[in-house]
Amino acid sequence: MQQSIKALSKLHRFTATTTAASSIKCWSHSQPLCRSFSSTNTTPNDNININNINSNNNTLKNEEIQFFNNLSKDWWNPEGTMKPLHRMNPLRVQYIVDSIKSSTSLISDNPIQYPLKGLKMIDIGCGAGLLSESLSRLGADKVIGLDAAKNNVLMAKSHASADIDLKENIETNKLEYVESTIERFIQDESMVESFDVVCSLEVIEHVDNPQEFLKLCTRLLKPGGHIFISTINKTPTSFLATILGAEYIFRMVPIGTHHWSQFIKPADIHSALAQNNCAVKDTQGLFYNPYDSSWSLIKDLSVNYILYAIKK
Amino acid sequence: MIRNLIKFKYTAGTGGIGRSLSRYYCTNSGSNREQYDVVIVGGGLVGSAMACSLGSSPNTAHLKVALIEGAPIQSVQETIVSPVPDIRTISFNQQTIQLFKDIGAWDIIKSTNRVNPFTQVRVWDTSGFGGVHFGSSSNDIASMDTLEQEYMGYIIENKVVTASLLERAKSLPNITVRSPLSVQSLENYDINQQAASTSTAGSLPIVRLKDNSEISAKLIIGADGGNSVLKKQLGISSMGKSYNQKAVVCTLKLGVDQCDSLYQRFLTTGPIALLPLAGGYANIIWSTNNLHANYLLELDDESFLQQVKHSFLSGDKPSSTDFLGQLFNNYINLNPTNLSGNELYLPPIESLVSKRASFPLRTDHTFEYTHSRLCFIGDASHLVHPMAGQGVNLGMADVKSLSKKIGESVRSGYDIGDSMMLKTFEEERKTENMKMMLSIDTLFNIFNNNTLPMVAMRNFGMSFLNHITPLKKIIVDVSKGKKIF
Repeated sequence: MQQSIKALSKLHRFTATTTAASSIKCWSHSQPLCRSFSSTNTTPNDNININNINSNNNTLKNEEIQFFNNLSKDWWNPEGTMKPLHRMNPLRVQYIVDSIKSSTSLISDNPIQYPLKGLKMIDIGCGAGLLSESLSRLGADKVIGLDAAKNNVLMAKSHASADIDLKENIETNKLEYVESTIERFIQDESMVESFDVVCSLEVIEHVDNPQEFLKLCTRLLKPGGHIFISTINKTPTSFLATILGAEYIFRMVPIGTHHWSQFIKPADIHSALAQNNCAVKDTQGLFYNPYDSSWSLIKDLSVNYILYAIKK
Repeated sequence: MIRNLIKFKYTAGTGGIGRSLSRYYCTNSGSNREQYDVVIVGGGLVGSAMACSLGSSPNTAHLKVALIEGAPIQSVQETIVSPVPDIRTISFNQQTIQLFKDIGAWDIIKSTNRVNPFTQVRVWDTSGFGGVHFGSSSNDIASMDTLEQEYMGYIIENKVVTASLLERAKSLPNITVRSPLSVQSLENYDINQQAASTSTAGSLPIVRLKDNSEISAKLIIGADGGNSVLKKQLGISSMGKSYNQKAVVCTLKLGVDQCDSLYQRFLTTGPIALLPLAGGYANIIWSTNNLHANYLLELDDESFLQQVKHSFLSGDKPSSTDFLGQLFNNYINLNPTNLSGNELYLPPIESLVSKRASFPLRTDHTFEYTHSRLCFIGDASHLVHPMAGQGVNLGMADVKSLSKKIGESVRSGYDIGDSMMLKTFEEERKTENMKMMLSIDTLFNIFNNNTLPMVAMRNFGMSFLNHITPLKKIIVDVSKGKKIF
């Protein structure tokens, strides 16, 4: 997610010349859990009704639409600052699909192009919708992309609305982006224990209270449902790779993107999930090769890893 | 796609021609517009293999694919009516044969009985001394007498393979073959706009065909060969050079029923190769300078045949008998006076059974294989000198890779025209293609250089190479399409 922060800090250079103190950390979907510089939600666009962006009856000025579209393109530029994340996405989507397939018969009869048919899913900390779009395209009955940062939700919505296939999913609410913190979202009782799959990828290392965050995530999950978490391990290797390497030496991401102290060991996630009645079924390391920008699954968990658990 | 080979025109780097005319918005979704997932432009070897591959893989078998071919399609039976093979033949390496098996076309190709496996390659130089013999058996690679069991590749006529691939494509439920029909223009597509953005936003590009029907598709695959019309129309630039050479091709009848070796001799004017075909025939591909090529084309059949024999067999015993004299003769003699030993294995050449044809030799490489919703494969994106027989094999490797990437797009919830997923195809193939192009170009330069140090070096190199089994094994592996790194 380091890249998202870079892009988002760019975003704020554009929007909020007057809100210098505004978020450089838009991944904070749960404000109370997040550190002090969380999204302040005081950008000049607060009063914009996001639903109007792609309707014919625009209440938005054209420049504003253009602005969000341009921004969305930047976020969505696979050769831009988000490159490593873009390259990681296919692998993690396949991991999610294959894991669900291997542990439940729910989706075994689905056609190859719609393996997620019949599932209700939520992507917590969806950013501009990289994962949500894939999940929706794979036929999920319902995908909710949740993000606390208004601009992320705007970007996600505008990008999906322009897409040939996803346009329809947005119109029919099969793909829905919601601007909310997880605390606020879960106050809607109908959402509790309503999801087959909960995903929160590359998010938890930016959360202040991961234990509490995981507890809320698992509350959304139906019994028997799957939860997917990916993040960075707290090891000397991860310090060398993601902070010294990626930030200070190779300058792939801006200095200060990650805080080693916030990285989380797999064991901590395992125990937090266990406390919430979820049993971890599989944990895989993710390896990034900067030479050809490719990701692969590995056994070693010392840097990036992804895991999934099933709620009892 | 090799259809145009005979009347090649040098058209590399056509910057800017179609750039402005391709942005055209169709507002009517007319009744004669069909919607497909993939349109493959060009039903040659590479294009039809692409269609078969998309139709045979479980991840892509649901995609609706249209294959557009400009020339009328021949049935497999029609291609083998004449017992004399066509002059256009290809040496397919093991990996390509494996692809044919995977896409369900190999049984059709094999059933024609027009396939000839070769198990050995014999290469030697004009000055004769340094000769290399490659066999594919791993235990006794340097043995000249052992008949290797494992094949290195197959020599098959271009048209037999193309017809078989098309027959297979037609049998697949998701493939529609439209022929003879060519592309008029690509509309609703601005390459600059598309290149700048990742987004799969907006409306789909439309392929307008010569019969005025329209096809819109999520992904357009350009497989229309070295003179790609699509590439020209879109103003996609490439880098290349002409070798100022022509390849003279013809078919010979051999004095044997079966030949399992491929022969290539590097003459000072360029390489001449003999590719054995089924039924005791062989194909000659003689690359030489334009002047010499024209001379060869004008000769009567008998004289031409003499020239072919001479070019393989010429050479005398070294005049000097003492060691130093021999060494001098062997390594730095500029005149073709020596025999390498490989000549002894050359099958007897009986007669010329075809007309002679020629095509100019050039190399060409497109900078960008992929754009959003657009992708070029095979000769359309990379054209190589035929001397290593790798052109079509590189194209088939493109097919394998692209079809895998499209399958991955489907599995990961991406639009099949997504520029990032296509980019990963380009990254995978460009390195491999460029390595091969560079190797072939280097080989060309080495063998077309007759300065004394270069001749000495290559003769030394070749004779040296023939005695280093591990190194030869590596070269054999590479020529079979295996990766060594």
